[in-house]
Amino acid sequence: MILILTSSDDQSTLEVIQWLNFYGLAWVKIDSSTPLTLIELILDDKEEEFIVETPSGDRIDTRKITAYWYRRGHLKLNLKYALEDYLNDDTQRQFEQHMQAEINVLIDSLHFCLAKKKRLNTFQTADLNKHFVLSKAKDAGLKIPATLVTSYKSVFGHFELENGSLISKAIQHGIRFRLHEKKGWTEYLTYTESVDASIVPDLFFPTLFQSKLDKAFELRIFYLNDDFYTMAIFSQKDEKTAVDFRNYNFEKPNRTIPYALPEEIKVKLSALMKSLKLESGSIDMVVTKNNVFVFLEVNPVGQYGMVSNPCNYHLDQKIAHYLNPSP
Amino acid sequence: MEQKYFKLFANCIPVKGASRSIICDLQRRDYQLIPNSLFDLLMSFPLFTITELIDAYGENERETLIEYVSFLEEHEFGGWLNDHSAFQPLDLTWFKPSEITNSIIDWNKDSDFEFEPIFNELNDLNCQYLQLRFFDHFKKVRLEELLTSLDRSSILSIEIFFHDSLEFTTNDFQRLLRRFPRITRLIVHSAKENRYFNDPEHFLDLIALNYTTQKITDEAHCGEVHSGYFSCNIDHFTEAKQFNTCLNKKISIDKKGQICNCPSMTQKFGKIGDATLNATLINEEFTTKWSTNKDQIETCKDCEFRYICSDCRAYTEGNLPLSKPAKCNYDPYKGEWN
Ligand code: SF4
Ligand code: SF4
Repeated sequence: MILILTSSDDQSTLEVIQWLNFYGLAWVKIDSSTPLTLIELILDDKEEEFIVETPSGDRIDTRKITAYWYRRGHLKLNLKYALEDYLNDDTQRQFEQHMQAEINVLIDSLHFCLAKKKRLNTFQTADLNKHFVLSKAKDAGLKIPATLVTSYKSVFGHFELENGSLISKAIQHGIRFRLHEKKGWTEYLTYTESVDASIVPDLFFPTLFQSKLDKAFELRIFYLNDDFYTMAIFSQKDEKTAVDFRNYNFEKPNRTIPYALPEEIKVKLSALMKSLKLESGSIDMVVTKNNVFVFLEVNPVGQYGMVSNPCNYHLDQKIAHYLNPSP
Repeated sequence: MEQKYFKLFANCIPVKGASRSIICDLQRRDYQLIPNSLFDLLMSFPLFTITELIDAYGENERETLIEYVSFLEEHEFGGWLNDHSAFQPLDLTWFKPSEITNSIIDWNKDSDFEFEPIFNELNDLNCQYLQLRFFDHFKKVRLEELLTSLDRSSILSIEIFFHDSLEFTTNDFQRLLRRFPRITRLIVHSAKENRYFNDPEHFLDLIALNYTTQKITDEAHCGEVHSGYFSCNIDHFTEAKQFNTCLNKKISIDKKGQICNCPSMTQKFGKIGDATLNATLINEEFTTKWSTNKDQIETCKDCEFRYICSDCRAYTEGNLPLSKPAKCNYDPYKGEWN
């Protein structure tokens, strides 16, 4: 039995499941919105397993799990039975918080237990600290963009002198939000395509700056257990997308074509993925006009369909193969 | 500065025809006609600089060559780079995790089969596209029941040919489209006038509701080939290279309830109820038609549109298994639509 943990609306999960069905492989899916009831979590000399029950009464016994795919999301435990008996109007909030914290640790334990299976990623590695990842990439011998986090204009100025034009990015997660202004809705992003030094205030919220790369093209790489599926993205032609591919240009989409990574880069990326304990993930890189490969980031739960479909890589099928207990 | 070479992008694929060629832009889902001389140039020079081209073709051809290159640049069919070695050709394999990907079910007032058991079988085979063709009046409640039973099935897209009826106003049809987003097209035939409605709430903004005065009272309307039916995308192109783009992984039920590749084909494989879809798939006579691709079909094999075109094996010229679709008016030898 293959266990998949995912969010309820994830298209990639559905596509992989079609392949599992086609191959006649048994699977069970838990999505993050389904509250599970814990029947047992056992840890002794012989085994480390758990059993949970879904709201529809199906039991999932990890002894029967032959492979585990952490796609995205998290496990959710039914708190009703755990808390309801103890809580009443007088119950102190403090107590409730304590119980919630205990439950969260228990959920962690379940995630640890699953991580011991033959697996494709884990909950623990779903949201890696980006600074940590860059540091590991450097250790693996990959080139990374010079990166600075500061609140001071003076420090920013020095860095800019040394590195030329800069871009800014979120420290961990970017968001886009819209504000209503006189002229209507305006969209704001938590990254800038090139920082205008003249409008930087003396003191500001800690911001991450990176040297702006002189890119020939970008690479989006899907890594799966030492195999690489790479797509080159030509975005420079179009001013609108000169810095970030995600700033989509729908009228004339960027060219996205299959690409083969140099052996040397593959070796370094494999080392990086192993040090991050990732069996799969979407890696972003830039190839500069001087043919230097620069590592940007890795997203363990990224939408790999955006690489698979344009390049006809059949990644859903390849993931199903990986999960097959007897390939 | 290092020398830069031009190369076509892997998803822009030239296809040669008898009198002219096309470049299929599989990413942008579009194609452009090109002269065969440009096709030949692209084959002889997978990488080139303008100087190289002029050296090879002679100074006299300079203007034409520059015109060719600016055409390729304008459509962004390729790019200039000093190193192209890492750019890979596109993987042209086609496979799907489904025993059956598409199906047609026909119905008229004499039909005596039940839809639901067929739907269940199609779901087990992971079928995604369904065409329902009603040649006579069909009851509103019954239609809604059928569509509801498909709500949780593998069918992602339903195309319906429906006989116009007093039971349905335009509003009713539009409500139906909204209630069942899997319906991608609803063609109401035998209508008083031709009309279409773009439903702004329908997610693809296609012409979802289409009234036609044409009377579709049997399967004979099918099989037309037309440039409007071309599909220029990776899925279709790769399937067309290996398989028949109409019959591959298709199973149908004709109005008499007989299992067949398509209702217009004379060969039948037993009546639904007596035979199952699953058992039919084991029959090689049934599946062999799936692999008749355009490279094997007379005339089509010389046509530049062969990998973006649809096909028809039921109505063919002279009724021969490997002749071109009878309802195609294109002559690739002249490069003209008749
Ligand atoms: S073979 Fe021809 S008649 Fe049959 S479904 Fe295909 S296009 Fe229609
Ligand atoms: S000749 Fe064949 S490939 Fe060309 S348009 Fe007609 S049917 Fe299509």
